[in-house]
Order: sequence, then C-alpha cells, then structure tokens
Amino acid sequence: MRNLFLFIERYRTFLLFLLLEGFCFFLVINFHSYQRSSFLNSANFVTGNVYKTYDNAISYLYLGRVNDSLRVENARLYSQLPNAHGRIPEPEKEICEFDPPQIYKYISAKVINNSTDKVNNYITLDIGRKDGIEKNMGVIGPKGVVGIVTNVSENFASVMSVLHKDCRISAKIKRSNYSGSVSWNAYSNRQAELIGIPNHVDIVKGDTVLSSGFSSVFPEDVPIGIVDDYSIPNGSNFYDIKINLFTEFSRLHYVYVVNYLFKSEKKKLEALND
Amino acid sequence: MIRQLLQLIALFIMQVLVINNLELSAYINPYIYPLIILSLPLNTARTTILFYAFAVGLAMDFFCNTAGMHAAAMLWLAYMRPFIFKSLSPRSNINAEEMLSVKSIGFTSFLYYSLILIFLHHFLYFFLEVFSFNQFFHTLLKIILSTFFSALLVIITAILFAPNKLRT
Repeated sequence: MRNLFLFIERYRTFLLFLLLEGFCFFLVINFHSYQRSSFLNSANFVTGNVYKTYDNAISYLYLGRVNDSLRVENARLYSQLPNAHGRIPEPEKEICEFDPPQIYKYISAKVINNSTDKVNNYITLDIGRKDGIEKNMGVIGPKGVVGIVTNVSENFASVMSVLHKDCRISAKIKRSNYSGSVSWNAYSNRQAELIGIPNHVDIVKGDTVLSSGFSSVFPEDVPIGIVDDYSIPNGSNFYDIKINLFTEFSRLHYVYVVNYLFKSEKKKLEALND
Repeated sequence: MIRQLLQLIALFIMQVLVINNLELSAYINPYIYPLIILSLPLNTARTTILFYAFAVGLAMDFFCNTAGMHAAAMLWLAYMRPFIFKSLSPRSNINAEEMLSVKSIGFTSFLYYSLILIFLHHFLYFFLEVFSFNQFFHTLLKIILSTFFSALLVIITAILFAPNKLRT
C-alpha cells in the first residue's frame, strides 16, 4: 500500500495527465460515434451571449449586403405567388378542391457565429428551444441548403453546416431525378461531392442538384448546387461528382430553420416498423 | 495575478472573435491561445499547469464545438512544456517567478520553444479534428502551415503583451 502511494506521489503529474487526457479522448470518441451531440457546444448561455454581443456590435457593417440579398429573395418569392401565374382553369380546381395542409414551417434566424475553414464547421443561431427549434431540423439560406441543427439550448442553437465532414444531405439531380447524398470534401468552402449516383445515369456539367425531401429534414427541391465535374473511378459502379454549392457560407447572415410539422406522426409510424 | 487574468481574457477573446474569423485558407487555421500556457512562469507547479491547460482547452471547445479536442491538445502541450524547455536550455539567469516572454528567455529560445510546442499542439489537434489517417499528408501540410502562422502570431502577441518594464 505504501509503495502504491509512493508511486502515485512520484508520478502524480503523469497520472493526472493520463487521467485528464483520457477524459478528453472519451469526449472526442463519444462525439465521433453515431449520436453527434455533445454538452460541449456553442449553444450554451455563455458562448451564445458572447457571440451575440459581438454580432450586435459588427452586424451594422453588413446591413447593405443583407438588405440586397433580402430584396432579391423577396422578388423571387413574389414571383412564386399564385397571382404571378395564370389562374387555374375551373375544372381542375374542382378536382383538387381540398386545401393541402401545410407540411413545413420556416422560422427566421440570425447567424451569430460561423466558420468555413475548419474540418468541422458549425454555425450558431440566435434562436433556440423557446422559439420551437429542435435537434435535426434543417437550415436553409437565401440561396439553398445550409445545414442541420445539432444542439439546442433555451436561447441558442448550433448548426452543423454542409461544410462538416460528417454532414450528409439527401439530394437528387433535377434533370434525371436520380438521388444520392451530398457530402463535403473538407478543402474548399464552395465545393462538395455528390455520391451514390449509379454510372448508367446521364449527367452533364451544369446539372442542378436539389434536396430530395426523403428525410423530411429539408422540403423537396431546395437548391444545393450545380454539377461542376464528374468521373467514374476505375471499377466503380458509381460516379464521383463534384458540385459547386449555391450557398456562400462565408457570407451567411440570415437563415431559416425548417420545421417539419408531421414529425411526431412520422416518428410514431416508423417506430411501428421496428 | 490580475495581469495574468487580463491576459487570459484578452487572448481568449482575440482567438474566438478575431482569429477564428480570419478564414485565410482551409490549410491555415492559426491558434494563438496556447500562449496562455507558454508564458506561465517557470515555478508554476506542474499539476497546476495541467489543470489550467485543461480548463482553457475545455473553454475553447465550448466556443468552437470541438468536443474535447482543444482540451486534449492543450494538456499534451502543457505536459511537454517542461521537457521542451529543459532541452532548449536557454540562459540560466531566468527569474522563475516571472512570466516567460521574448525578453526573459531571448528571442531565439522563445521562437524555438513556441514553434516546437505549437507544433505538438497542432499535431494532436488537427489529427483529432480529422479523426482519420486517410489524408495523412493533407493534414500534415495543414499542421505545418498552421504551425508557422500560429508561431508568427504568438511571437507578435508575446512582444505586444510583454511587461512594460521589459519593453525597450
């Protein structure tokens, strides 16, 4: 026993180092395993408020740019309103006489912290649980898909952006309707990869890539990017497709969180299958 | 003590709000907050330094959503600090109670001291961040470029933060 104490006394720095380092590695490995939530995130009270204060101080610098992007977005949305299109002919109106229920609701949020040059990039938003934000909700920007909510606190939320090496977004090619998933290659904040498209599909540069809506994290047809380059690796049945992302992640100021209104019903139904 | 606390807060704010937002390139992610541990006086107890490094790293993890990676790298840096310092064996007349700085141990010694320790920190941190050896040379290049950039910023900051009486 005495020897044990002597040993501990002698190597206490090393043992303390091992203990603390072990704890850190536990956190890291836990974080990299399936469930990607961690108590260590920027959605807590202190970090959220630091980022918010900083954002309040500097957001005036971007007002012009933000206004411009909102104007463009408004114009685009106006042109999608029913009165911008022709009227629906009467007989067809009778066929679909019921009002389709609302499936998605959008909640506006402000980006208070954002990174684009790390391997795992996160965005912090100024809204949280009290505004109805939950884990795994999709986040879209004025130009397209932005990311997925990973952690929520009372007043803040942290979002795993598309620029995260573990982010997968269910996507499809607009022209051929084939679906795959978009992941990030970690070295350019304007480019990502589309994987899982079989090699018999006809692809051309400039094809638009949209969200597929399968996972109901994002509605169908939210723009993601356009095909920049593609190749078929030797012996593979799938394409390697590089896409240029629409969203300019380094200029992100306002985003919308997507709330899928049938979430609990869908979950209940899917639970029956297990 | 108050000086140390102020320096800690200043460095932390600079790292989180300024340097993290620089967005130089995917290959250059500089970190200057290790200077908090690099500049601790020589007579600080080794266990105290470990706890200190752990706390600073964990706080940085909260801000960067990195789940223990900064804490792991900072602990490693703090643990290696005395060995690296000894191996460089700078001047013998260092006041053990004073904070380590460019003036107190000499420019060259401080440069090597911070380069080596920042390299160790970045090596662990960036590999934990990628969490695979798939793109080993990509990651290694990133570590080397970031180390030089961080060391440059650390030296500049160390000179700016140097106690007034030591500044010429």
